Amino acid sequence: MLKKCFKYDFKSVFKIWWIAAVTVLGLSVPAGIAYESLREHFKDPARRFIWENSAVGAFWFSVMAILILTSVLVAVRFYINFFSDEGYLTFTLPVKRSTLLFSKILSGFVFYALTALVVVVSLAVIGLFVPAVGESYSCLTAEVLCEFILIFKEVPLKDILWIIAYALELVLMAILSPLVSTLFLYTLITLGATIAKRHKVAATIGLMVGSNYLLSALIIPVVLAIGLWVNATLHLFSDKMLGEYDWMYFVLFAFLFVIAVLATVCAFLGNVIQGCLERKLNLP
Amino acid sequence: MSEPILVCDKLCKSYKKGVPVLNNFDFTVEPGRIIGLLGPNGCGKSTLLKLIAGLLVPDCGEITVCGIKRSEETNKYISYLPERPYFSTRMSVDEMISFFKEFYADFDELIARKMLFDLGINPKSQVKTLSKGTKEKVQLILVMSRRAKLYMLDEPIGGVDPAARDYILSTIIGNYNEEASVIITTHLIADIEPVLNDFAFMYQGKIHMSGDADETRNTYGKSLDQLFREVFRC
Amino acid sequence: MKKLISVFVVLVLFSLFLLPVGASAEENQWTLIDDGKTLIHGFKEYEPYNNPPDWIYFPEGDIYLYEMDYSGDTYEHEYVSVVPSDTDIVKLHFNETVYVTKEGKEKLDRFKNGEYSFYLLCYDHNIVKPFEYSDFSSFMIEENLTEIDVTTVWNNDIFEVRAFDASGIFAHNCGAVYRIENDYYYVHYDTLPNSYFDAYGGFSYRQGIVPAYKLNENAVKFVESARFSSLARIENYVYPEEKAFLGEDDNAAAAITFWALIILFGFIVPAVPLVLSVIFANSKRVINKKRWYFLTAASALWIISTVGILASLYHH
Repeated sequence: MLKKCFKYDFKSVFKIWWIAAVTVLGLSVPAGIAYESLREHFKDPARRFIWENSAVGAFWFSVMAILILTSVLVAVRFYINFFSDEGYLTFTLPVKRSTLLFSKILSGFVFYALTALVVVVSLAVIGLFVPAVGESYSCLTAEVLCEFILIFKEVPLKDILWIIAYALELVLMAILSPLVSTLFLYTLITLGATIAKRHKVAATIGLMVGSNYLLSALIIPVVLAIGLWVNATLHLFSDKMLGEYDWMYFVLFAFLFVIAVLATVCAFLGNVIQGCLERKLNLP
Repeated sequence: MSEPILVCDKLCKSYKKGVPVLNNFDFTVEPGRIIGLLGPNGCGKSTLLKLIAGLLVPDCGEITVCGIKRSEETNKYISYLPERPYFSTRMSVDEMISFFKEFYADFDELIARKMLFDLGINPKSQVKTLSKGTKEKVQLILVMSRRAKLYMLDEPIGGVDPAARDYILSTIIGNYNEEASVIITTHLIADIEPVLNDFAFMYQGKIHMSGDADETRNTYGKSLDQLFREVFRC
Repeated sequence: MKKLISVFVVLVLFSLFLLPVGASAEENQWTLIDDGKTLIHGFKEYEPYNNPPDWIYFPEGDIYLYEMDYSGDTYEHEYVSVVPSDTDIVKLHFNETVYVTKEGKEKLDRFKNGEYSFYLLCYDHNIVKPFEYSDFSSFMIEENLTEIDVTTVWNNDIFEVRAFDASGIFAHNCGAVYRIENDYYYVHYDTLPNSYFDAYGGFSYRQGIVPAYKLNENAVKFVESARFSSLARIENYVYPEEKAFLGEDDNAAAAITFWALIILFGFIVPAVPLVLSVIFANSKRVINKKRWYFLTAASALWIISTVGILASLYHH
């Protein structure tokens, strides 16, 4: 059932998203030419200025647009499918609420990842036009591959296991971070739609603005607390740390701590959303 | 005697504290019956259907469908037509048929396409381009094209023209599985009365009066519509 | 549930109160005004003090250097040297000007007039041995007064007698013990006329014959013991802004901060979702109980990782 749900969620967003993706990729070509043409074709500074600024400007504008559009499409799909009239169709399907929610989370995550990929590819396309960068791509790829092979040949097995462990942790953090922001967005939409009987969209926007202010206020004491703790730790353990201290375990557990915090936030937000969908569904 | 398709046991539901919409509500539906759930506005008809469909959670009581406690699994046995248009406006009729086919194993595509053909509805047209009446017909066609155990139609003929009403009623009778049951809520009793086997008058969250439609008409010498007007005279 | 929330709030407040309260209350802004005639710090005003050139700036322990916005002639930023035990007497670090409050001026005036607070016998630069006035006065016994030729002693063992003011910041060499062959002679500078000193107030070894007291046996033992039992008088320049986070350079404050924060964010905070998730997972009202176990697992992992961090820090 998850596969079916995901298929429809994906198709629904993709219908519009692909236009933005093609636009970004398409605009990367004139933008790349604009960089290259600086050197060769446009001797006239005025024409160069116009060409550069319009092509490059259009490209960066399209990048901003796709980033915003992805969030909007994902949020709108979530809202319409769950809290508008379409909710009557969605929640009468023989599919668990958790599966419906997971499908939305997965599709949101996939589209954020696809957007990132499109931006990276478009930058790579621009880079191809800039000779120094284009040449270095091939060298870089070969060198990096050679390095990887060497690492795994020469490094002892114990250290390779550490590298694998760190890599796994970094991958988990890379997955959980956008997941937290997706779930946070969904939570605000759910709470807005659940609390407000009529003006659900307005309630959601209000919650987003309010939560922005709240997070900005919370970030300062949290960063201060982290700074205080790091200071205190260095102060207490500086003698040990400057000596022969095995940092591996500390880093491993520190990463695990971050992963656990992110996972807890994800699980909590997921439960809030699902609780609202189960008990407080407020369809029109 | 086969087990009931639907059993609602002491259901309670209120939207505001102290204002119950359903209050110790008991309701049973035997297989093969078309039941009219009739009552004035705000008596809890739609709320009851939403509770059975799983769109609301009862404050107390239990709902059993085909002997299974109400869950997402029982949605397999229930084909629900809400009062509002609920299809995705960005999809075409074809895509909605595919959607139903994918999610409901009991969906019969041939029947659905035949009914669409009979009504002259182009399957390739987008839902948002259809008129209100056509949208409601399409929704009803897809709901009735399932081989479900329990059909729940919430105000299926409200807001459509008389010709469409006749079509909808004939569709209901002509296409529902005879081992299944149909619950219809409406306030247009006169129109729906001819198709009903059973009826239940709802009032203030409880069943005020219920029974076999024919027997009641014989007993009281009146149509259900006339009886309803007497019972709920303002 | 209400009790649980109250307990949590109390624990959070308790942990927060354990945190040291900010940096020291003292403002650390030093400002020169009126062309250097006045130095302002908070509510205190300092004026320059004309100290004799032979005075030695010789405090012990932490000397705080506060950066000023003032740009001196030679340096981009001047610093104020402040001895925390006596903030009535401060000095500009680079151009050496001494600034004092009224109380500081009184202390230094008394010092200028010969009121010494304590003495140190200084063997080698900053290797010192404290001694009481009674020991010092035993150096000057009238019967032992004689003369020595100082042109020959400047390279011998010299034990300077440094007298300090009440603040312990400034020192003045009031005399010195010279070793000539196997005998020790004390020259009391304070009784000598100016001709025995150079322009900077330092004793001039070119004067030749000077009066000196030959030290008796006890005094000699005392001076010789200074060679082996002296300790370094160490000054330690500190930039206070680096210590501001913890208030004072204090292991106790660091330990409290460390434990308060790790207990709060490593144990108390994750305990809330852990307990809540277990309650909800066992609640009859909850439809899908399994989903709460994800939260339980994540919170448990949070606590385990905290334990792991502590273990990695304290592991030997």
